[in-house]
Amino acid sequence: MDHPRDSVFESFVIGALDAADSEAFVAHVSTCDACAAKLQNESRHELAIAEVHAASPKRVLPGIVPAKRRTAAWIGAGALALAAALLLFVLGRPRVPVEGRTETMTVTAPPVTTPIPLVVCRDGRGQEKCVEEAHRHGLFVSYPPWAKAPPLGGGRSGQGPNGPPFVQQM
Amino acid sequence: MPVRGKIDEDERLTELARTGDARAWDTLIARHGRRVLLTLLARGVRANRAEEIVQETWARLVAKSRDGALERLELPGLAIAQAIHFSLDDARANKARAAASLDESDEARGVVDPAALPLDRMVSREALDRALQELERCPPKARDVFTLVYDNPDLAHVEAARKTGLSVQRLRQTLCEVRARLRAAMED
Repeated sequence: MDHPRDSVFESFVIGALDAADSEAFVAHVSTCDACAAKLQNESRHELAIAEVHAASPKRVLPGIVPAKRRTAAWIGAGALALAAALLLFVLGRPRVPVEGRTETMTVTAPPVTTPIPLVVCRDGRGQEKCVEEAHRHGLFVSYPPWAKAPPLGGGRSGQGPNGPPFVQQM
Repeated sequence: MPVRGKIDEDERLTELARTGDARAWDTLIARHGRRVLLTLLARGVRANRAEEIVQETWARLVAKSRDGALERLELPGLAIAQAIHFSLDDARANKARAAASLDESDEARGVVDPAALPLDRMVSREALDRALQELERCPPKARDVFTLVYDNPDLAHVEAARKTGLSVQRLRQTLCEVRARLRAAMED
């Protein structure tokens, strides 16, 4: 008969076995003297360890990541990933010279401390596409002062997806 | 949950359970069930019978609470006492049967007399002090894992892992490392 490994005894007493494994384990140790004795010993150790915990100074758990902060971190990471994706999309496009210029638009990487990334859409052939992409990703659009008026101006480019002002004039 | 808040929560649940509230019982059974089971196992009760006794214990306590027969409810103490009482009844019955057939049963041999094994002391004062010092020497993250898991015996490891930002495997590995250190310190 195969006896359970030592780690299985430990897993059982700390409650780490799933229902099926636990059932099989109990079935075995209930009929095996050697394993029953081993489980008795392991259970006594577990109770002793619980006693150590009960006697240890109570402490607040500073290392535990609160759910709210974790969510915020994920949102931040998501926004950063979106900005990076947009940057890759924009930079990866073929560059078409327009009226002597070699670049149709520039995207600024969001500073780490800025919660909502800003996108600069210069005038030119790519501006409309740039603004549309930014809208699609829920990003703010900033027009540099030297750029022409936004072609999508008015309500459309002036509002974010949820209503608040979306396009900033730098 | 801060320590004080957890104590308040325990008291609230216990009071609800004392008056027969099913949800409160579910929570308390999840919280204390393993401790009751381990106590029986530590006393030499066979695992399958220990599980049955634990079930009978909770069923008896819930029934008493619904009958309004629980003046005080202190857990896990009351459940442990009830479970030990059942296990001793078992042992006596087995001994009587064994005497009748001149064959002592394994279970009757295995159960330890409660008088010889104090209810709540599994470890000497000196061993406890050594273990507490060892716990202080563990890395802070490992102590956090240990505290979280032992503070919340009803917390699934998956949930504990989520709270600590670790994988379940890493959480269990950390927990076992701390247990091994404490165990070694107690056996010194």
